[in-house]
Amino acid sequence: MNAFKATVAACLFPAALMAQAEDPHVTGNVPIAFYGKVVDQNNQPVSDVKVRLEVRVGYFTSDHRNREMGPGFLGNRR
Amino acid sequence: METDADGNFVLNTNGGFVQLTTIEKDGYKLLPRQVKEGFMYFPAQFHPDSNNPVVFKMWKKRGAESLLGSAWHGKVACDGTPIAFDLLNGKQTEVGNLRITCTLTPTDAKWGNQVLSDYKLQIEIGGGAIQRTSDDFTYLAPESGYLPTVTIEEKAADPNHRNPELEQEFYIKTADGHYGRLSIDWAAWQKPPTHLKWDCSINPSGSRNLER
Repeated sequence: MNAFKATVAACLFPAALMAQAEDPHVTGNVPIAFYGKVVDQNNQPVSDVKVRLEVRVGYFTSDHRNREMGPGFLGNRR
Repeated sequence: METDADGNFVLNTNGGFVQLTTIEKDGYKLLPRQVKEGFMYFPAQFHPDSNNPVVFKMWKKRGAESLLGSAWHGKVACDGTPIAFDLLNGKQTEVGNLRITCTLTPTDAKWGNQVLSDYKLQIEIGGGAIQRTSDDFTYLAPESGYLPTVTIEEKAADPNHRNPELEQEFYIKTADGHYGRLSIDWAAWQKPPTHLKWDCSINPSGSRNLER
């Protein structure tokens, strides 16, 4: 019985780790869709505008206290 | 990335926060308050909607001109006495063409967060005219709509009244027909004498273009 429990735990452990790694409450990251539109002073669309956005990747520096405070954005990706 | 023919752009990725770094196109200038604008996805304070994209406004430049600039900052008594300035050099003078009157009633109130007073700001361009604006861009003065005087006031008894940090922009037209932009910042929440500052740009060519 103990061997069975150990086998089940061993199988579930990596899955639990992976889920934790993808959990936004842990990583601070979620799928992002950002929709933008550029217009001029007459509300006419402006094409060929160079847009540069910075996506900050959030992750926690400790497991619990910072989780309550929100993600610490320590990484940047463009 | 670049905007398409309809001015749209889309970003799909993973992360927690999106911040605008640059929006650039030759001949255009981004609305100053949108520079470095940020959007928090986690925790979800921002909800993207493809049918309602975030709109970024750009000014299509007409070409910078040489504007005359002047500014002043100091303390004012707020007792209803007009203060006059020379708009060309920013100096306080008795016969200046910019006249500002700040009034707080009462002026001798015991000040604190709970104590309010009536406030009134009156601005006059001697021989010229002025109009208040809330335009996103103030790079082109309107042809019409000017008044001899503008007054902004609120009574302490008005609902939701709070003595504010009054920041307001105006278009002006001087007595000799020159257009300009005037910004005024009055700390009406302070105990008198209160801080007042103003900043003005005038186009001496007579053009309504206020780009610099």
